[in-house]
Parts: sequence; C-alpha cells; structure tokens
Amino acid sequence: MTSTYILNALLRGQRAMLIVSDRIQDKFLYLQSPIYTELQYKQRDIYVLWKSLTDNYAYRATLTTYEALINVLVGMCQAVDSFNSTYSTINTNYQDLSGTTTIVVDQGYVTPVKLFFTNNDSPAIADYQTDYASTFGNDPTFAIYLYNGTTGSYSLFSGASESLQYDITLTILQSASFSLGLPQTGYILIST
Amino acid sequence: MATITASITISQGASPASLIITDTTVNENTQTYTDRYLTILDSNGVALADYPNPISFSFITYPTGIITLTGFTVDLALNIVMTLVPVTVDIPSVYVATEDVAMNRYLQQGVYNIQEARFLDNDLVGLASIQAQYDSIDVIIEQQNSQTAVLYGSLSGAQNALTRGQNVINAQIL
Repeated sequence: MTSTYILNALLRGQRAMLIVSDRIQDKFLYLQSPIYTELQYKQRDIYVLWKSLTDNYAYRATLTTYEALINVLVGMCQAVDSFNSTYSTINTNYQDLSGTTTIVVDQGYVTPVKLFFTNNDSPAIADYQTDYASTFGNDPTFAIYLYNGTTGSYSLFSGASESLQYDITLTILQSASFSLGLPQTGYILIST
Repeated sequence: MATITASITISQGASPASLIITDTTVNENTQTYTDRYLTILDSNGVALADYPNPISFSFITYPTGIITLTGFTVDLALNIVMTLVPVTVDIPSVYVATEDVAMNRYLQQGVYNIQEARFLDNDLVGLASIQAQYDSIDVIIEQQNSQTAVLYGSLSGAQNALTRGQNVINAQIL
C-alpha cells in the first residue's frame, strides 16, 4: 500500500463526507427515511475514521493496523458511492451518473463548483452545461476545459445554459485527481 | 555579528510520550554563547516533574539544536521558553524565544485505538459502537478546543480541553 494510495483514500473519504453533507443539507432526502439516518451515521463514521487516520498519517509506519483501517475507509466510501447510485434510481431528477467523467483539478481552491451534463457516452462540448456565469458572474476566477480524448487537447468551455438534466455538486478542497468510480467518458480540467 | 531573534519549533514524533524542541534561530552561529537552556511550565505555572528547572540545552550537549523530552504520560499544555546567553550582548538581538503548545498525540492515538476496536477487532458493537462513535467525536472536538485555546493564549483552557478529552478516552471500554 503506497502513500499515494493512502492519500487518495483519505481524499476519497473527504469527498464522501462532502457528498453526504450535500445530500443532507440540500434536503435531497426525505428526513424520516432510513437512508437519511444511515447516512448521518455513516458520515460520522467516515469523519472520525478519516480524522484519526489523517492525524496519524505521519506515524503510520508505527501503527500495524493503519492500512487495514484505510481499507475500512475505502469500504465506507464505496458505500457512499453505492448510495449515490441507488439514490439516482429513486429520484429521476438526479438519476444515472453514467455519463460522469473523471474530474481533474490542477490547482487548489475552495470555491464550490457545480457542473451539469447530459448522460452521453460520448459527450461533446455542447453536452456540458454549467451555472458558470450565475455563480461567478462575468469575471470568473477559474475556467473549465473539456478534454478531447481523440486529439488529446483541451478546449475552453464557457457555456452558461441552465437547461439541465443531471447534476453533480463538487466542493473542491485541494489539488487532487480522483475518479467518481463510474465509466469514464472524458475529462474536465478545472484550472484557476 | 548579525542581529538574531531567537526562535524555536515544537513537534511530536511517533511516540506520544515525547516532545521535540528545535532551536530554529536564524544566523545563530554568527554570535557566540556561554549557554542555552529551556524553561518549561505547565498550565499552572509549575515546572515539569522529573526534569530540572531550567533544563540544560547547551550547545556542547546538543550541537544540532534538537532536544527530545520523554516520559510524558498525558497530553499537556505547556509554555516553553528557550534562552540564549550570549558572550557579548547585541542590543537589537532577541535572545529569548517563547512558544505555547498543546500536545495532542495521546488524544490522537486514543481516537485511533477506538476506531481500531470498532472496525477491526469488533470489540464494540451495537450501542457500544455508537457510544464509541460519539466518544471519538468528543475527543476530536477537545483536541480542536485545545489548539484553539492556545491560539487565544489560554494555556489553562487548553489543558482543560486536553484533560476532558483524556477522560473520555479513559472512560471508553475497549
């Protein structure tokens, strides 16, 4: 288990917590549903485990079960991913994420970013929509680039339509690269 | 002779029982000294037990400028002062460095051990697991409280938070 794997697992845990928070705070769930209660507990579990692992990251070599706990964290994150998939089938407004792409972030910042896109196995630039302008006005602090897998090049995307079909909310806390765990059909590069 | 300003950094290693103090004074070797020592007080203003006061940190014994204090059994909030004694006093220079710290390794390891018991050893199941979850969060909160108290200059507040956190760990049956 490499340090890169561990750091990616910790980053994934951070993202899982944010996903749960997002779902709870945006009232995507019926508050009395078992899923809501389960998520509350899962969020706490992920947080306390994530905190204990990050606090002890520098000393992991002396902790014989550190790697096993990391794997527990990964399992919890997978459960959150599974929830996302399950929830998508319940709420048609926020359904299938199979058009999801790998998000590549090349510079750290704390600005919440919303990306909207269609479920298309071969997404084109026009398939991607964002609330870019409404969030950042006409003087955005970042740009979104779409990656063309055929040519291997990036192109600037600045669409502003709100005709949305699918919604992913990302709160990006640090420079990172991570997979959403679903079929990858392209890349979005977000840079400041 | 360059003007210096004494400075130190405090850190902890893998062992929660130890504390590492490093002399980080820039341009220190441009002056000469007859001695260097530490004065360490707890949140009640009492010198560390089992250590002399002051603690020798002489250039001869510690040429790398790093001293490791051991034997801590709980996390403590400490006021640490390093004093340089120059052969010739350079008026603009500052020969005393002070840092307030709240140790956290015992609390960190306590949370880690609880998580280990919950998820790997299955020693805590059902309500006991939920209670352990709450306890873990309480310890994490107290850990944060201790750091915040130091930022606001309250060593006693930091120590109180550390003690509350340690009490939670002690009360947790694993």
